[in-house]
Amino acid sequence: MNGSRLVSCWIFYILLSCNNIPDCDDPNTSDLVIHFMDSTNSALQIEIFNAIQDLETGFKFVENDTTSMVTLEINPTQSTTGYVFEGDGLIDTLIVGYEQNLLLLSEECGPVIKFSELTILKQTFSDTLVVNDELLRNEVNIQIIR
Amino acid sequence: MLSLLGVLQSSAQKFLPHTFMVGLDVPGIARSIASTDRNMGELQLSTNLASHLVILEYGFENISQNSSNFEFKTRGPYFRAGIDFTLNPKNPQGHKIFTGFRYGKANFKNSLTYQPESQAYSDPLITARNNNLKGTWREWTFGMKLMLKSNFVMGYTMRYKFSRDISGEDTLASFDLPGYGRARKRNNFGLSYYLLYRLRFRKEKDPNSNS
Repeated sequence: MNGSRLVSCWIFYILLSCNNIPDCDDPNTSDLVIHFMDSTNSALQIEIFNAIQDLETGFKFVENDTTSMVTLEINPTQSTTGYVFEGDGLIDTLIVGYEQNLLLLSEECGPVIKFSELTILKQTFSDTLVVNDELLRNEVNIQIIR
Repeated sequence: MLSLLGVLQSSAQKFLPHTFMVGLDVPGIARSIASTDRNMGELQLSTNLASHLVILEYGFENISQNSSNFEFKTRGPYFRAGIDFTLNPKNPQGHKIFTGFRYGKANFKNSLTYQPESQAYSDPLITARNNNLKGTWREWTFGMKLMLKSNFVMGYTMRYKFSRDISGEDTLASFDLPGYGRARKRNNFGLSYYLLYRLRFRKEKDPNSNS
């Protein structure tokens, strides 16, 4: 095998090995997106909340807001998270369960947590519906009839 | 009858091993010396079967990826077994160009400690581990072995790895598979560079002889 052929083989091999560029753009998120609907299950109902708090820690995700969609962080160290909703003189509770899977994207990008198998364990609203059981960016997970 | 026995004896001698080689993967040792996050070593043992080589490779990897908020560790031994078929069996110097295959298997464990950013939950700390992971894969190989002086042999093996399978994972996905590389890749490439020592325990038949 002459020198130029050997060099060509090495360049070919190096090019084949150049697919290690890290892609940190991962769609997984730890944010639960809740969409509020009215009792007819079709039109959006604008809700006024005094607060949405974590059931255990009391952390306030939303305070004195008018909205039809909220984004709530779920607890990454537990397999369940509970929320208390206060508004319009009503207090409601929602407890969700989920599975966590851990994945290291790369040394540069770090780990991500994939939350899936989202289920509603307890709720005091008129009705709730899980529309997407994986937590992905810009995806509604739960519809709540209030 | 005697001539038949002679032919059988000659054929048997052709296949009987006459050479044993033992060597180390040099870049792996160099990387272990250069980096505190990677400790790895690989030993290659081989013996001839006619002009071809039966190969057994045994290695160990202890790899750590870490940053300010996480540490991922992978640790375990692996082996590969297979045959390298010599493409130039009549080379007078004994230099070998070969292609072959391997079956690879690793028993390993991994763990992750991770502190994700959180506004709602103060300093969440996540730990996960897999203690009994098994990985298998197959390889197509191509390489060269050059006979140096004093029974030393230098060689490289290029590998195309495929049919990767990992079992035993719980909630933590594997990042590295010892002996294979990045676990998420369905196919992978590898390069090993060996420095070997050759032991000849029986007189080798002249490769250019026809009888």
